[in-house]
Amino acid sequence: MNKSGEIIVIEDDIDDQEVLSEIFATLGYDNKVKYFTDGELALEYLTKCDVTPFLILSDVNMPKMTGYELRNKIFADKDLASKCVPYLFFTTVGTRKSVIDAYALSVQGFFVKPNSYHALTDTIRKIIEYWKECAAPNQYDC
Amino acid sequence: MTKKGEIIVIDDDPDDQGLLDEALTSLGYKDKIKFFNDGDTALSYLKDCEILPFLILSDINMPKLNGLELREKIIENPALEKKCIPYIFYTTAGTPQAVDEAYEATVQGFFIKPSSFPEIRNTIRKIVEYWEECVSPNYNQC
Repeated sequence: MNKSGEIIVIEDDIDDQEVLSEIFATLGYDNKVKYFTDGELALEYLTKCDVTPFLILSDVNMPKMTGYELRNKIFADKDLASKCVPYLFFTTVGTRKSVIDAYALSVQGFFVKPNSYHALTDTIRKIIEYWKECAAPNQYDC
Repeated sequence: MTKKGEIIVIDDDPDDQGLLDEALTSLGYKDKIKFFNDGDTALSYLKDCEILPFLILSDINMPKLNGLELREKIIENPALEKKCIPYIFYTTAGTPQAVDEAYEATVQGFFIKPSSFPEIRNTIRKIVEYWEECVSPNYNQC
């Protein structure tokens, strides 16, 4: 985890991407935010040696690869796993089974997108503040 | 994890226990805090089917079973793992090795104990607010 690194958002809904973009701009953290509409594109980017993100915020239901599948691929890859990027689910719907499954994998966060702009801003702020406060592991070497 | 559950604090330092008690009480968690001086007694308590905590706040250096070892034992125990209790390290011992080891096992939080009470309260506030914001699996297999 690199606290100055990018926030990777994997979200196939363009409207949701736009709202998040506005929120991040308002909150004013220095981390750049990078958007992907599917897990495959995100995975390709994350595999690059010099990419050392801060956080991953991932929807669950997405084309090509679900959020669970992507998370599993990341943790199964030794190089990717060693970047120690917290993987947070950020989704519209959390079925009970999917939430239980996520927690059974020691989920690092599972958030349902609030409806209001104000509440969504608050959620994002809590997420960033939490992981900024955490101690970070040794800087990943390319 | 159930948000109405107890906050389990595992720390062998009575002064640190006192400060956490004060901080959590001021945040509205009075009567919901359970203290343990070591990992063994905490583990026995957690194994009770009826016990469904909200969070675990655990030091690392403790007698009998350290924080990293205790977390490992919880993950390896299927019944305990299903309780989906977020395991947060809260410690003075933020050595690079300990941080790395925690992150390699997908850390759910790693916080260095601040020195002043207002800072302690602020850190604890961020922790509880984050997990309160998360969706709870509310999985009771008892």
